Amino acid sequence: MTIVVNLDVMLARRKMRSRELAERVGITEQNISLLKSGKVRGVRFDTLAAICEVLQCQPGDILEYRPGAAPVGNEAGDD
Amino acid sequence: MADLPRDGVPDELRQRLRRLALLVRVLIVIGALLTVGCTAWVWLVPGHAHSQVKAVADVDIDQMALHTQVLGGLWTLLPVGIALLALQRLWRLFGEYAQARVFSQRALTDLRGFARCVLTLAFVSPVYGALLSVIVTFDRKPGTRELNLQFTSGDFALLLIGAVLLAIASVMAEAARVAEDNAGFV
Repeated sequence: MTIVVNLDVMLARRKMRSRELAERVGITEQNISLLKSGKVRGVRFDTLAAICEVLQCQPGDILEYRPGAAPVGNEAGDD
Repeated sequence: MADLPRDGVPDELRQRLRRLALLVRVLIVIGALLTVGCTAWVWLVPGHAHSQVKAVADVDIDQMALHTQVLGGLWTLLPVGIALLALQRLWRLFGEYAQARVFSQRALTDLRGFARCVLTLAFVSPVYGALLSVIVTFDRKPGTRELNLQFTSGDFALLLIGAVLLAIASVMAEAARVAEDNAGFV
């Protein structure tokens, strides 16, 4: 089981750069980059809520569950 | 959100740590110089070992032969060496703190090392005093030689401090593990 992060897709749809998203969400650009590449252990709900507010989307637009796929080192978690 | 350096340590805290580390390192240098200087003074200058022997080994002596003084001085190198090793660990520890690396593996290792030196001193101190009493009275006639073993409140304090520092190091190691775990969340 793995959770895939489709943040880059949403950024492209909204024509927004990672830096702008990072500034508006309140986390570092490095963390946005790690999130895009799926190299984080989890996402806090308040971060997820801030991303959804900025990108005007739902969590399901950013996070996708793909059963049976090889783990790529990230699982969405709560804090 | 306030701007933070890449390692997340605010500048004000970083500067405070640097000042604290500098102060402690000055104290360490003073402590090392006093430790070595006083030991040399006691055992190399004739006539000064008597008060040390009385304080540590609880033995009254009038005169001390040269070979006794040499042996006593050499034996004193053990606790002095441990004390200097402890100061060296402390120096390295505050070197890490000066760089705001409070929870680094090296800082935890140095803290544990310092704690172990303190604990070792707590156990070595009574043994040192006991053997010193034997050394300074060995030339006496049989039946008048002494072996004095004492465990002072200072030794107990060292034991307590060393144990507490070890416990703190363990807690900090766990805190570092939790922090690293949390760092994986955005």
